[in-house]
Amino acid sequence: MKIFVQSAAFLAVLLGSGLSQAATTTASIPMGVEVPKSCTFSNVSTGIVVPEDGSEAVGNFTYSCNMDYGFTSSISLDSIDQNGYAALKNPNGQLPISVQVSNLTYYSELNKNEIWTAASGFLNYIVNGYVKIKLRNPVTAITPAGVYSDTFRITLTY
Amino acid sequence: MKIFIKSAAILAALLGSGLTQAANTTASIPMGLEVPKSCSFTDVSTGIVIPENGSEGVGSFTFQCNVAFTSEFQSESSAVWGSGKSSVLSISGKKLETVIKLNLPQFGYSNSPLPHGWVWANWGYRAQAQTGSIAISLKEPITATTPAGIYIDTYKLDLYY
Repeated sequence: MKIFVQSAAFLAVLLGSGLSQAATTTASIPMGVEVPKSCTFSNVSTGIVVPEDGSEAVGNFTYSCNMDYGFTSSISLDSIDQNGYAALKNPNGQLPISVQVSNLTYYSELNKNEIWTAASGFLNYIVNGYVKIKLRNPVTAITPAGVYSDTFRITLTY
Repeated sequence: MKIFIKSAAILAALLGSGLTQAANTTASIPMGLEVPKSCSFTDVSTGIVIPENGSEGVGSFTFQCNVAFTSEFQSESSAVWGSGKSSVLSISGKKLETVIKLNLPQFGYSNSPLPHGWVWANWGYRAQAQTGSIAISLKEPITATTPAGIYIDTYKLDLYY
């Protein structure tokens, strides 16, 4: 019995004071969420009826993106050709048009398909754009009858 | 710090590669106009006085269509006769036979007699205004025995489109 008590005391010395030190075991689970980039359109005109007399018609579009910069806004007309001419067309002919566009930060005569790049400050910024169309020459009695059409497109890439 | 970097890497892996994919959002606005079909006459003579001696009285007209069309030119008298003849008619029913010629060069008529008093054709679109005339004369000059009176007819120009 004496030996046992002595051995126990010795063991306690050997193991030292480590029994009294704190230890830590850690596990971690990363978590997060990705808010995807997105751009949305609203209030896009369903169509533009171009007046025969050469006066102006307006179509509107509104969009916003949830990023401050880094997206591009591309404007195009289906009819516009490499020389910058746009026209309402049908199988029998065409009626030249003048097109003016307000988009992002400025306004311009559209004589080619344009791309604007958002620099900064556009986080949730609401862009109110418009496109103004008019015939370069009014319809006359000799203008061939028919339906003439074109399509204005705006594409946001991000 | 090592754990932090490791966690960030795992998180990026968890959230995937969507961050690098381009996306598009597109809107379009159709536009256009309809030019309606139309035909119109201008500069139509108000009347033709037919000379008594058998020479021609002339009336003119101009028309324009923005579409293919069919024309029907006919004197009312030839429509009534139904025999291809035309005439002027008095209120008492007396007839004086007439000869009508059509001058419409852009359509191939150059003072061409209209044996049946009318023209019916399908014409394609013409970009220019069309000007023509009709010349009408009595087939026989009036004589001392021709019944007195006012003799009239009407030449009708109809365009269908």
